[in-house]
Amino acid sequence: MGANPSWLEGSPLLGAVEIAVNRVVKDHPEAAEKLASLEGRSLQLDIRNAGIGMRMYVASGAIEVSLPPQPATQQNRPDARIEAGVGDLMRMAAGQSDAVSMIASDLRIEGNTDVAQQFQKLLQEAPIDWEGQLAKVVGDVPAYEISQIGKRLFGLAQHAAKSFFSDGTEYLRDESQDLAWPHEVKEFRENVETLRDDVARLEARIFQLKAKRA
Amino acid sequence: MTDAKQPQDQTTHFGFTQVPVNEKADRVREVFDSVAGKYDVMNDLMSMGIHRAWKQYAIDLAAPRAGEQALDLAAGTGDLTIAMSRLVKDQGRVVMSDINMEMLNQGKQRLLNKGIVGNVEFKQIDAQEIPFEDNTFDIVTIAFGLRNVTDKDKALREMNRVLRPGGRLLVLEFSKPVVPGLGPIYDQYSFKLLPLMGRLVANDEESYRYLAESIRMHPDQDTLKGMVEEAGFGRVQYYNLTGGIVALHRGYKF
Ligand SMILES: C[S@@+](CC[C@H](N)C(=O)[O-])C[C@H]1O[C@@H](n2cnc3c(N)ncnc32)[C@H](O)[C@@H]1O
Repeated sequence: MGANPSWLEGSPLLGAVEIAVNRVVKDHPEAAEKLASLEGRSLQLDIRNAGIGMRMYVASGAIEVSLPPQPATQQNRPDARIEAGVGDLMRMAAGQSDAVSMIASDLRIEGNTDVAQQFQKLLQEAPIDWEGQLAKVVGDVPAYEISQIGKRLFGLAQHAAKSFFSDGTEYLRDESQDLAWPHEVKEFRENVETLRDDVARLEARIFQLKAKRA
Repeated sequence: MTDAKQPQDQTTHFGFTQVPVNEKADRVREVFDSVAGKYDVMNDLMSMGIHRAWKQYAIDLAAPRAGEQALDLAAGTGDLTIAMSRLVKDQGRVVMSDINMEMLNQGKQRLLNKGIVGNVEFKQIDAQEIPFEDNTFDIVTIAFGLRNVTDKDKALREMNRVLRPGGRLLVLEFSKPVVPGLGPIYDQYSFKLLPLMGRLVANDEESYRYLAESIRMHPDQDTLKGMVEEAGFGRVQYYNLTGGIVALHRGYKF
């Protein structure tokens, strides 16, 4: 079930995510419209093997990000739950929603799939400035926490990439010749690399900012 | 400010010193009277300016919208009031309040100087007895004020009462550092540096020693979370800032 959230307890990053999403919603009518249709709805996003689980709840036209309630009960169940591997997130971040990535995906959706898809679209399409938002709260995010996140994502990115290329590609090539075009695989590999670099760059930038503040 | 129901011999902590409950309010007031003039300077020095980032984070998570009604308790010189008055716009309202008239006047003057008029009201309020009807506000804030309140549970219940269902409470307060190693450094800072700076800048070492002590006596993150829940709030969550030196608690009235 849900990832153990303990290391995110009290983390200012939860607030940073919330602030980032709401800022975009404020400035973009299309995003605001999407959010309005989700009024009163909740989604739980669990990132597999990363210990990251968060609950998003839409109230009064804004999103609220919190840790999943403990203990989970029938009453506090979210309308929908998305469980994703880091690989899925990378594909989502890279804007890939083609056949290859759909098949390679180990995304799991539970509950109201309509709600899940609306949330997914919102997070995927909204021009959210994650980096800028993170940089803003960075003075308040302890360095060890950032490095922990960096390491987790980095490690998982490597793992995801490896398992994708060793099992995934072969599976796709053997089973459905026409899906795994070499150039698509190459593109995906490049996306993984870009993301990995982004994480490293963000980490470096955060340390720089920390140092400046200290 | 005396509480008739409170037996005379009951004591409460004033920093680490036990004092009769009745006396605490007076002593808290004295402390803030004596530092009111230098408060802004001290505030910047004390937290090396980080308190601005903490307050901004609190405002971002309160996310006031145009037309909303907000109550800023223990507002001091009004940093949160100023930020919220801009966001609720002309059609909204912010009540800036403090138990201490001297502080409130300082804050009022500061707002007038900044040209903030129209949607802000000024009112002397004790957080333990809020003179508003039930379900009045969309937002209640208290920044660096709860630790000075004698009966925190009562104050939290009052905050819950005056909020509308769906309204949110934001408590910004010193808390327990969670970064390994920060604890001892912070102790040094709060016990030695704060009073020293108090003497240098505000000419009042005693007052700042009290501040340092009251910070230490304040409930930690989880305890305060429990208290906020106990007062009737739901979806209560806290955010550690600067390694837990400060924590922002947020809860919703159901
Ligand atoms: C450290 S100042 C905080 C000022 C401002 N909120 C800020 O963050 O800069 C604490 C304030 O709490 C006020 N205070 C103390 N006890 C109070 C009570 N019972 N009710 C309301 N305000 C109180 C003091 O007068 C003082 O102005």
